Amino acid sequence: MMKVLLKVINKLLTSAQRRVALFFLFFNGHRFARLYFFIFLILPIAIVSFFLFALPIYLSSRTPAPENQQTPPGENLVLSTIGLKDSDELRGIIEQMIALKIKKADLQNQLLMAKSDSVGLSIDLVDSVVALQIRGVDVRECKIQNYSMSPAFKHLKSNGSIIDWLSKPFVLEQHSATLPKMPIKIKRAPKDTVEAKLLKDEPVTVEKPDVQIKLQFDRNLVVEIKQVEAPTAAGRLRNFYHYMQTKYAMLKEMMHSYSKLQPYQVSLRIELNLSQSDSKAIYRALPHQAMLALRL
Amino acid sequence: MIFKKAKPLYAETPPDHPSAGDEIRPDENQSGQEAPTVTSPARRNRGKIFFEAISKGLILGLILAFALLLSAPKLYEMKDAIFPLRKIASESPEIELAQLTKELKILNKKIDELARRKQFMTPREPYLIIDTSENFMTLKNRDKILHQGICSTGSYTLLKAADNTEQWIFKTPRGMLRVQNKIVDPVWRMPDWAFVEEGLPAPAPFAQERYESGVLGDYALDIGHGYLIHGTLYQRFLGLPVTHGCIRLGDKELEIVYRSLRIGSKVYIY
Repeated sequence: MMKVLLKVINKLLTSAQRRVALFFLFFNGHRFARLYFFIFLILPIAIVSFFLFALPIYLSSRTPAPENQQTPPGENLVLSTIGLKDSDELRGIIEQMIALKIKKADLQNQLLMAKSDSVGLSIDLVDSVVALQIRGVDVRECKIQNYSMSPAFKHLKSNGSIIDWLSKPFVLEQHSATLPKMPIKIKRAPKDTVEAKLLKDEPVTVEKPDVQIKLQFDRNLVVEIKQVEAPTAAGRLRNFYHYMQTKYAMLKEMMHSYSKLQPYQVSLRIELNLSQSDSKAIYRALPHQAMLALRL
Repeated sequence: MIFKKAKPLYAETPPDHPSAGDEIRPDENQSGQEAPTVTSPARRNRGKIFFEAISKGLILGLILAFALLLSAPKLYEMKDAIFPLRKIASESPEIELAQLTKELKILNKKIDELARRKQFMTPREPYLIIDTSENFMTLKNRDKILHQGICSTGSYTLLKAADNTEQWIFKTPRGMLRVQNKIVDPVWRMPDWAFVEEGLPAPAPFAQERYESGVLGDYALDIGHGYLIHGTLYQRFLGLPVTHGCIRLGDKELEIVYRSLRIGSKVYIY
């Protein structure tokens, strides 16, 4: 039966494909060779799986669960009612209340941001608007064309625990992008007026870079901004390089936390699709440690 | 003759005895007699197969493990999607609907108050917004746009003196600034970099050749720290990042901005 099958395979496959197929012929029927092959195949996967799944479960079981805090009357009403078997009407009111509490937190955050002199960012996923703010004034409003976010947000929102997380502005910790933060051009002073004239005649170019941005905020929030416009060939390459860079950074961080036997904190991710000019303006305008008010 | 006996590991290669092609080498450990050892092609072949099995398994395993590592965040996200997070334990008594409705009203009032407070932050007089990445200006009064147009902002050029003793960066400051002074027919007092850029030696601080009139347009608005909003002779460069940090406007825009803004008006630059 096996021989017949192999014959059929041999006939069907081209020579190049046959080479691949030969790889799976299990080393000319050597049982132990097959065994070693599978052991060494599974070993790295098992090690990685241990760090990715078994270790986090073990570490989370070791960490004591936070004790239930007493909620002040009326202050955290929404949180305290979760878990009760509510009627549909009550459930509806609770959902409305969660949405209002999030809106309240967002407005409070915007007012807090307004106390600072620097440019702040406000992301409103309910109204699909991203705004750059200076001293409480929306200096640029950008329409979100499309967005996606981690599924964990849905659960956090449904049980109300997101309100605490959103209760103060997020602070930008790290950022990376396919375009430079400041497009600095270094120019050496001319030696004389002749050289100065030559330098003056150089044409001024307007950059139109393809934009892909990753903004890493505190409290494990990552905001990724991608342009809606299709990137150029060079832009695709830069995007891929940026993607690999971010993955490498993530792996490094993951290895670092596992080497210390600490659970790796998976970031809550929001991906926004904005126009190229909006994405560029946002990235260039945000200072280091910029603040973010989020509403979802 | 003594032969090392090979273990019959495989049904396909059971070399219990040396075959015609086997290589026999003298073994000097045996007293008196030369004892040959066997390194048969079958055994070498077996070693090769084992090496191949281990290396291929390891390479494929490492590739799969790397792919697993890369997709770890997605897997965690999938886990969150499949298994909902633990709900917050509740020990509170049941809450009446009326109490919640009351709470809702209080919340709505609080939100209205916060929204009003935020709205108060928008100036109640004309203000200017400068977008340095697009080189675009917007003159607004509250939420109403009064005028829009192109402008020129800092070029982000880092000019280094020929002898490396000094350097200047030409960028427009960001944030909220205020109009400090309004000037008609401004005269430009050229700083050192203006001479360095032209390949000329910088004159004394108050030398006559430092002053040039007519190059900043008809008006200028001082926004502090040595930065001005002014006009330009080079209208073709409007919309491009070419300035030394000042904001250049076209003649029409400059006049509208000059007439709309007063001393103390806000200029938002991002």
